[in-house]
Amino acid sequence: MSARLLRRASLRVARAAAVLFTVALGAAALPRLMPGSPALAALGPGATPEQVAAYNDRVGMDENVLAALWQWLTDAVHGDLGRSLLNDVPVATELGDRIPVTLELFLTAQIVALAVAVPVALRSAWKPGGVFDRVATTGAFVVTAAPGFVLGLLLIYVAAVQMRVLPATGWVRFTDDPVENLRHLVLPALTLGLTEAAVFTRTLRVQLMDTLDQPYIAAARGRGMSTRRLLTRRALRPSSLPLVTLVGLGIGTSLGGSVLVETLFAVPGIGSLVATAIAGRDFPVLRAVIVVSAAGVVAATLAVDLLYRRLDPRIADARR
Amino acid sequence: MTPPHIPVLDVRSLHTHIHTAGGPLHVLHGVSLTIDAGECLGVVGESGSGKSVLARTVLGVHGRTVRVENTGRVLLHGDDLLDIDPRQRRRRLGGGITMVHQDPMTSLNPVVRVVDQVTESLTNRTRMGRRERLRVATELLAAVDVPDPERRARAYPHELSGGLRQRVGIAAALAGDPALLLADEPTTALDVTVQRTVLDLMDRHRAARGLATLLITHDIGLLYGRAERIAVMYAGRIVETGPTEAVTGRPVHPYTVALLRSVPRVTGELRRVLPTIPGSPPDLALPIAGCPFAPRCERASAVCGTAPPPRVDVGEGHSAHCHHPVGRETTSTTASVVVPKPASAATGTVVEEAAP
Repeated sequence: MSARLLRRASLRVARAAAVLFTVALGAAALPRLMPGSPALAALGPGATPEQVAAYNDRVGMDENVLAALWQWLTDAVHGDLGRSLLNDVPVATELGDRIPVTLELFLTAQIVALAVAVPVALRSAWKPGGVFDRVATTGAFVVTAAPGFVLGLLLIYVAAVQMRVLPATGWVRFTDDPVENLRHLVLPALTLGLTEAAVFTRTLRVQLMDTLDQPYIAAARGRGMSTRRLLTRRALRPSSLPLVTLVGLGIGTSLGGSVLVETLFAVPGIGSLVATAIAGRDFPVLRAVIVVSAAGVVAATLAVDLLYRRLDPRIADARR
Repeated sequence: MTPPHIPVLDVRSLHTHIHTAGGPLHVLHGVSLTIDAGECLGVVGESGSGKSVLARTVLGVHGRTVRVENTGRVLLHGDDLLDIDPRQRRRRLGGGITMVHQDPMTSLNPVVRVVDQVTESLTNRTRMGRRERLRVATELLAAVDVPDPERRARAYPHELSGGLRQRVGIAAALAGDPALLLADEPTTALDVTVQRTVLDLMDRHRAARGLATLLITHDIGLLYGRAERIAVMYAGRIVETGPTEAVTGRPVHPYTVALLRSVPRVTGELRRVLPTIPGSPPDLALPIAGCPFAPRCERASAVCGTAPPPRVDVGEGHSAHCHHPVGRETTSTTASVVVPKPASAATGTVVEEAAP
């Protein structure tokens, strides 16, 4: 039993390592994949050959890809992710500053999304085709269909311009001023969260409708269970697997940041970093962000898998 | 004078309409029946005869998207269930009325431990601690002959066999100490070998607790020696009802006769064509002027298609609704000539029967 468990665990770690290695390889090849000369594009057409050579050395264009990757990996293990080509700040420091901001934003957004989606989906699925369901489904459809920044702009207009209760853009660190931090968090988190909530609601609603048609739900009703208890204690859990996947992947991909929302609200997270890095061909930054966010997705997938087993005992038994 | 006798369940001319996208279906047509404490009433009929709807209407739980309209009365200990508010009614579920479901594979929640499902009838009304729930569930499982009940209580449904799961279903039904048990084809989904033990188990608890039982089945043979009385349903109507021996021994309604003919027997020829009833039950969306069984009936005459069949009472609580009751041809005054329909025996199934 435990030997088998060990084997399964090591298999998983190996698989995760393979995924990360492949992603890192792709990230290392990035400057080579760019059309034309990245050095000339970055330095301008008037660059001297010496400048071009120095640039290529920094980006790792001289060596072959595998050697460059090896170099990067050994440095990364020692905490050195290189320096930004744009402002010469160590990439590790930059990420260390920005990851907490992005994580705070995304975790709050997921909480907002779940807090909206779960009750709405429960009520919607209980009486499909009813007034509540039709309003909720239409609302979710509109939010999904509109580009994310529309909702953001709308929130800024209402809360910051009209009511003047919240700041439109900017960021204050939690450690500097918790209250201001929360005030700056509200609008971007709502924008991200409500967009996600629309997807969550649709996914959960479909799954719930299927669950609620199951004979075991009728059986529980026949034992006198109240509708509220029935929905929250008996129907939600068997319906939650696709939602758990969405939430997990949402948190996993968050390390890549949301370029749109962070740019719109001037949040100094990974997303806005990526936006400037792409524009300025800042390869060391891009490379680090790519690998870190891939690591986030791998970790989230693993967590989702473990949660699946807890949510549905049949899954754990089937794979035993 | 003795106080008036009140049966546990007393259904009086119950009409049920189910509203579907394609219009209303008149599913139950004036169903009346009573069940006393400790008594078992067997309800038998083909699929689509309305027997499951009857159970669900008595329980008051239909699909959540189904709109149902009832007229008539469903009296539980004299209280009309159709007339009380939903919260009052829900309080009687689990306690007053419970149901054993058809398929134990799908009627148990796959992600909820057995202990929590078995004790549901109780925990819906009062709070119970973990240990208390486990203790009660273990007792209940032991009472339905589940071996190693404490371990099974902690298990998930998928870890149990079909027979054990149906025992869990029965334990869950018994938990609230009900007065009325509705069993909707409780053994149809089970192996033949465990069907009998499950039915015997239900009989044992019926006798011990004085449970009134409504046993729904499509297999009339299952009811011999188990049900005191039988109600034969066809197209949402009870077409014949009476003591089991009377209904099976001296059936009055041609439909009952046909049902009994289609039961395989252990005695008789080794190889014979098991008769089936030609045709299928009527479309409930269409109104029926006369007798619903007329199109499939060997004894049908012109009057059967136009006038609703009269009630024929043959004594001892045995009665049927028929224009041409079997063995009592003279009681019908409206039609004197019985026109037999050509029998279509081609629809028979060859059944090989075991020699004793």
